[in-house]
Amino acid sequence: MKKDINQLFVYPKSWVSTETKEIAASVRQWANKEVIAKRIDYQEDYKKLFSEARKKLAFDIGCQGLMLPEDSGGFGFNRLTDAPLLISILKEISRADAGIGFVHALEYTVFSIFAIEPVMNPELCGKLAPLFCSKTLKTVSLILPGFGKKGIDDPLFEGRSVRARIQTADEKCMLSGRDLRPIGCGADAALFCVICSDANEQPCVALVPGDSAGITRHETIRKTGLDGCDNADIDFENVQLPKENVITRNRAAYELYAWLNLLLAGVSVGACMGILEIVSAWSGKRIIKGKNLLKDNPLCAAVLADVYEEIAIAWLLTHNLANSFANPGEWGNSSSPLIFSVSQMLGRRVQESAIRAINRTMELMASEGYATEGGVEKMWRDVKTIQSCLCGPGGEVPTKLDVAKCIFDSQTI
Amino acid sequence: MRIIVCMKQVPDPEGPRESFVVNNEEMRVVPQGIPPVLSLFDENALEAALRIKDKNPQDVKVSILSIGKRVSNAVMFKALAAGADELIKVEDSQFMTSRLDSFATATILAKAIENAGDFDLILVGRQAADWNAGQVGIILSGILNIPCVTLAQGVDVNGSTLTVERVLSNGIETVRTHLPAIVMVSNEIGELRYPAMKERREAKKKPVTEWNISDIGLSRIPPARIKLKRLFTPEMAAGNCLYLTDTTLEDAGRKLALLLKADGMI
Amino acid sequence: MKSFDEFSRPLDRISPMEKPFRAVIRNWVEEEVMPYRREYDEDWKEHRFIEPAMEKLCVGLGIQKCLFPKAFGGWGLGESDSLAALTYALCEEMARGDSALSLANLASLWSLTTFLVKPNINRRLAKEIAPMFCDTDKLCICCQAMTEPQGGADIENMGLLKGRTLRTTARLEGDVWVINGHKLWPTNSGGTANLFGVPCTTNPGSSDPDDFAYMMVPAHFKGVTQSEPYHKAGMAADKNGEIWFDNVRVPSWYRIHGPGKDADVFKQLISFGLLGSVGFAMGAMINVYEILYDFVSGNTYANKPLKENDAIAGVIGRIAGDIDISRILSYELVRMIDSREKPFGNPLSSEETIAKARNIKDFVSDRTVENIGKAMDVMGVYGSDRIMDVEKHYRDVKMIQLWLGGKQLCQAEAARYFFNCETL
Repeated sequence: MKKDINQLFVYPKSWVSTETKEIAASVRQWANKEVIAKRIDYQEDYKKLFSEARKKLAFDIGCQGLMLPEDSGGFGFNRLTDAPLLISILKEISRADAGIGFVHALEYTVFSIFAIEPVMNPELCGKLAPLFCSKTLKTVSLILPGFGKKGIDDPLFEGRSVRARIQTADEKCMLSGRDLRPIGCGADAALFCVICSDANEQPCVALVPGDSAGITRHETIRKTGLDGCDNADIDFENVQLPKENVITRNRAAYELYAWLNLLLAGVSVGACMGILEIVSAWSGKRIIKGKNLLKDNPLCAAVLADVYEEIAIAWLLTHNLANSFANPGEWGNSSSPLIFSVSQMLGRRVQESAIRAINRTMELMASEGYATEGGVEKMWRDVKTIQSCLCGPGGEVPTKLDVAKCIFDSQTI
Repeated sequence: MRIIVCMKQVPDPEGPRESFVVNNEEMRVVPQGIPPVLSLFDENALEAALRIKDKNPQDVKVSILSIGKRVSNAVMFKALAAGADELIKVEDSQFMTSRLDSFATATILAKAIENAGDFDLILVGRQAADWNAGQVGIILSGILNIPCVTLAQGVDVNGSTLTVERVLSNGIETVRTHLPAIVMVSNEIGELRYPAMKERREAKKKPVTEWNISDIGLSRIPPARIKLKRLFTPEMAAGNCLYLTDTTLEDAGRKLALLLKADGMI
Repeated sequence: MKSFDEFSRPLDRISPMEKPFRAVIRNWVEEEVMPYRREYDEDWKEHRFIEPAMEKLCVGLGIQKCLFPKAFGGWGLGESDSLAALTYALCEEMARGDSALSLANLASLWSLTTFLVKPNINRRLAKEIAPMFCDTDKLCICCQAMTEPQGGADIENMGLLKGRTLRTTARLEGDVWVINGHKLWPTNSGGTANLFGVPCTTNPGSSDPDDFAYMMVPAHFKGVTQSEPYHKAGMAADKNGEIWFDNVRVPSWYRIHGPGKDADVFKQLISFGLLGSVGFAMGAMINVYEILYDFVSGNTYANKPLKENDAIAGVIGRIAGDIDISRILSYELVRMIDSREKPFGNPLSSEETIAKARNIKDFVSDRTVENIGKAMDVMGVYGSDRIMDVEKHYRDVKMIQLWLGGKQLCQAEAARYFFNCETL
């Protein structure tokens, strides 16, 4: 691409600090060297190369354990003001590979409810940090409320069925649930984060080490994209947990949703930045009608402009949301009804823009967009997988109803 | 042991070609909208220094020395975050108006090095990524009167002995000399490591020394010994493409040969 | 559950053959495709599972000989008034199981339409080629080798470029055509095809229709080389690769018709390709409807089946509506093609037919991509699960939107016809 991609999006520069830019530049260097330069090799042996690239990102740069407090052995990026940094990192990772970005987004989402100030829980951080501050790659799996089965009445979280239950006795808790479908990483997670219901059918969040007795992982699920993240359905059969592993803080589940939407927006925007670079380079070389560059054909140029527009809008929405997280005094924190609703709305909108931008790119690039070699179809599959995973039961409907409840006080929907 | 790594800030050579505007009258290249970065061979030199430090972290100190009209802390921060211990900058308004050729640069660096105190090893990139002259290290060794080894792909220190692997066009050469010395490092040594989050935080606390040329005992910039006569953008050949319409390979080949001959190419 | 046959069809004018024909193909799909389609999805390189299934269809059921005149061992479908209706039914039924299989099958027949379908039947060539397809117990596949490396959709853009950008050349030497050139991406390349249909030019750079030539080139002829297939997002049963023609010598009567008519017939070919495209798209959408029906009936939101929630019903209702409207449009395209020889019809090479056919393909393929994407979203975390089969359709149907010049060429053709654009 002839232009510096950092100079293509217009936004208040105060949104991105110097430190964020420096770290993002470092991650970009990693992305260029370890992933983008090796894309063809990845097609041959994705798992092996992916693992090597991830290790450099996780340990050499420090993206694993990034959000854990320094006292616990992490890198201490655990303030709300670090929200723009987190999405900048995810963007740069995902520009090269949204699958790797997705894995880190899940980790940061889960850490957001116990490691980030002001809700940081030092005891929990101290217990869970060793898992992530070692030199082995670790993933985190997130199980959200979702579909119910016809004929079964489940406890509900904003209409979504909560199919995991927690029972508390003395200082111990017991988690149960069958055939639960995580958002990702179920097959290899070192830590599960599960929204479950308590005895009063209220939502709470359980943090379950992956080696706990009573966990059964089903077969690895084959899916559209996100090859770097192996998922599987999970059974919890009376899994015992210390009481402190269950977060009963009011609206903690809402916080998870808000952070998930923000961070996955960062992943998809990053993938789109990669797309923008690919289509820019391609349209500057492709000759049509025997003589003209494709980008100089008005119809194709208009499509290119559409691609940029979608990405620029997604970029702005994502950074705007990150800044509202970073400044909770302005609009409320991530658990507030407004931020919960808006983050879902913007999160959905960003995914729509991202998939639209990639779809339009494929329209132009045609078979070269569809072939594995071009690098576009992988982004397309990855972003579509993220978009679908982020949807609740019935697609966009649950998030829309959440917005209606908040903005229009719809009571019975 | 103290290692001084001379590092230059240059416009990102990976930037778009259109962003490098040549001012013919002032004979300057004006980069437009290109962020400054560390010169890539200088990054290799720093990596060589850090590998020596890795073996004996307590006893090796790595100092970064950079000169320029405005040395960006943000750019140099990468070197500190990667593991260097301190930064010394020589900035002066005179750099705005005077052209620094290799001799002037080496003279200023030599003065700054003397001012910085004792050293054992000086590492520089084999050439800068902007002018690619590749002379500063050699001139610096002449001024400081110490040995200079070029084109290094491996640097090892054992006591006061320095062993360097050199990249030659027909193989690898290993040479040995004594400290203090200068080594000009090539890219074969490997890329600069990623700055890790922890070191990044610590880098903010590392000392940064700022001097101007009078602080290092110079009253003015040494006059340039190389006179730049002309600086211009080469004209790009028009990309006209001629399709040979003959339908057999033999015919097309014969016609191509005739055309190339007519153009004086063969 | 309702049958997908309830989506609109013009029952008053569909061929009586359509019902039994659909039943035969549907039976093949249930037995040979539905249980194995996830294996087919992985079989993009070797076609170890795909080829036997295709053989059962093409040889066992005889589909590969359907266009050939009865006199040469075929079914004579090329002379039928219901060719488009039956072709559409074949594509839709097959694509319900696997749109790539459907594509591979139609693409094989596609090139043959240039000399086997009325009013363009070349009996000498038909007789010459027929034994490969009719008098055999082996699978025989044809490939329409159109796209060239430098041109993208230029070849398909006959209305404007008239073959001017073609670089594959044909030179007549006595009674032999000598063909040189490089093609890429056609369906059934990558080592599959036994026969190629090859658009060429006899005068490079010319836009004179007389200089456009369409050659049939058997794959085993000296000088034909095929590459390995490309790996791509989906469409595993459709192998795509590169083909090189290096001084390939074919008999002069392997040119399908001759100066002028080759160009006209090639334009007609585009309409058949568009018809197949809407058939693939419809088949995929219909199958997604079937899957979605079960999903929204058995899974709940707020402890009620998804389909009983007003807002979700709005989403799935729109999906069903789009399928129904698309089916109506598809049969309109069928009507246009099957009436090409009738007093009230237009020739397939007319600007009107091409523009309207492209409009329908553009509209239906857009709805398909959009609605299958939407269906994945309705299924949430299960949408991207391969076991649900919706995501396979999602990966497959994107290609339908992109081929034959893609969306932009469809829009340009529509503008050219309806607004009399002169330079597009």
